[in-house]
Amino acid sequence: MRAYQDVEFAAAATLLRRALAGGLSDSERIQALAYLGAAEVFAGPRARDSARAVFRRLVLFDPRHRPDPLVFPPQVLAVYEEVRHATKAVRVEAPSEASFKPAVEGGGFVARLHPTSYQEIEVRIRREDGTVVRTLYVGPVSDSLDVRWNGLDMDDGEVRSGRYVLSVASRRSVGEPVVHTVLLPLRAEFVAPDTLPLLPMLPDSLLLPEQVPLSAGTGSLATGLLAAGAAMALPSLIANGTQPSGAQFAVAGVLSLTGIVGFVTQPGRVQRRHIAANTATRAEWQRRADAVRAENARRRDAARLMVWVGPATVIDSLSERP
Amino acid sequence: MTRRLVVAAVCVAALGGTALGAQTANWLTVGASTTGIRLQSRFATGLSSDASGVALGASGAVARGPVALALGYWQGGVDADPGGTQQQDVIDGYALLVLRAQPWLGVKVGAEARSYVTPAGTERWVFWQARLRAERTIVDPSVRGHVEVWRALSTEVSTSGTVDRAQGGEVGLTLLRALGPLWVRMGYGIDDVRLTGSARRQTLEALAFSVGYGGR
Repeated sequence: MRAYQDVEFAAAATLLRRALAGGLSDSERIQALAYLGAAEVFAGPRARDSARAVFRRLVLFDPRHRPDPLVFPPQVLAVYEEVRHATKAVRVEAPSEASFKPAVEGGGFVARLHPTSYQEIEVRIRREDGTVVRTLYVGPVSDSLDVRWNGLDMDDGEVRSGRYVLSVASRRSVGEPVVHTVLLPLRAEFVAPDTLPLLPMLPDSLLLPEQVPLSAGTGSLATGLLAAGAAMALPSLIANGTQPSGAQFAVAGVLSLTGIVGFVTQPGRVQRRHIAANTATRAEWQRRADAVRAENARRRDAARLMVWVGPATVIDSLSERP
Repeated sequence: MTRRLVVAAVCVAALGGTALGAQTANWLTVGASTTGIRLQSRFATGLSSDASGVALGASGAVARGPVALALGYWQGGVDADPGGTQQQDVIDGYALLVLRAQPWLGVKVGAEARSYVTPAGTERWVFWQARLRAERTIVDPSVRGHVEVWRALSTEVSTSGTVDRAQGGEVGLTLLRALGPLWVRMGYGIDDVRLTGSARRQTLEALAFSVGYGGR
C-alpha cells in the first residue's frame, strides 16, 4: 500500500500479489484486492483486463464492498462499478446450524443473499440428485434478501431427514442462461424426544374376581362349622369339669347355620365391592394409558428439524460479459 | 398354657410385620350390649352356688393403623334364688391394647377388673392378661366369626388366697356392612378362675348380644 501511495504501481502490484498468495484475513484480503485492482488500473490500458479480473475477485469475495472514494480516484471507482454491474453473483450467508419446527409461521432456516448487482435469481431447496424440493424465491434482487425455508416440500409436506442443497442460481435477466450458482449443502434431521413405551394391557392379575368362586362356599361352611365346634368345645377347654349352661350351643347353632347359608349363597354371587374396585383399577389404568398417549403426542409435536450447513460451492457457468 | 400363649403372641406379632405396614386405616367403634350371665362358684368344702342374671354394657375401640385401644364395661346382677334373696352384683371393666398382626389375627394385652358385690362385702379381682383373637369371614362380606382365648399373666384379688389360674375364651359372630355402619354381634364367653389349692373355683358364662356403630 505504501508503494501504491508512492505511485509505484508495478511494485505495489507485485507486492500485493505476493501478499494475496499468502494467508490474509478477510478484511486484509479485501483491502489487498482493492489496492491491487487500483494499481492495475494505473498500470496502463494493457493492464485494464487484469484490473477487471482483480475487481471481479473482490466483488465475488464481498459483494457488499465499495471502494472508499476518499482513498481511490474516480477512474478506479468507475472500473470497479463497471465490473460489479457486469458480475452476476450472490454471496450466501447462513448460520452453521438451525433448529426449527417445520411449517411454523416465522420459523425456519434463513439464509441472507448478497447480490453483486441487480440480477434475476432462483433460490431452491434440492435433493442431492438435483430434484427440486421447494422453490424459495424466483425474481429480481438488487440488495440483500433473506430467504426462509420452513422445512416443507412443494406439497407443503414435511421433508424427511436427509441431505439437501440450497441452490442460488443467478441470471442477468429472465430467459438468459444461469451464469453463477452457489450450492450450500444442508443436512436436515428431525430431532424428537423419545416417546414413552405404551402401557401394556391391564393384566388380569390386578383385577379382583367379580363373582365368588365355587370353592368359597366350602370355605364358608368350613369356617362356620369350625367356629361352631370351637363354641361347643370352649367350656371343656376353659373350664373343664364344670356344667355349662348350654348357651354355647345357641352360638354354635347360629355359626353352623351361617356357614350353611354361606355354602349355599356364596358361590357365583356377584361381588359389588370387587366390581367397584375393578372399575376403579380399570379407570386408573385407562387414565395412565391416556396420559402416556398424551405425553407421546406432545413429544411428537415437539419434534424439530435440525439443519446443519456445510461449506458453499460456487459454479461459474459462463464467463462474465462486460 | 400361660407361657404358650405369651410365646404365641410374640411370634404372631413378629411374623406379622409385613401385614402391619399394610393396615393403615384409622377407625372408631362404639357399642352396647345386653348379656345373659351365669356365675358358678364351688368351694373345697363342697358348697356351691349357681346364679344367673342379666348385665348391660358398653364398649368402644379406637384404632390407628394396626394398633387399637379397646375399652369395655358391663354391670349386672345375678341371683341363685329366683326370689332374689341371694343377689349379688357383678361389675366388669377392661382396657386392652390390640395389635392386629394379620388381617385375621390380633394380639391383645391389658387388664380386666371385676367386682362381686354382695351384702357381705365387695370382692375385687384384677387380671393382667394376654389374648389371641382370630377372625374370619363366614359369609362375605357381611358375617364374620371370631374365636378369642385369654390367659391371666398375673392377678390381684382382694379376697384371701391367691389365684392359681385364670383363663377364658369367647366365640361369636358379627353381622356387619349389611346395615351400613351398624354391626350386630352375638357371642358366647366363658372364664374360669381357680384360687389357692382349688379351695374355690369360679366360672362365669356369658351370652352377649351387642349392637354397635363404626369399626373397620
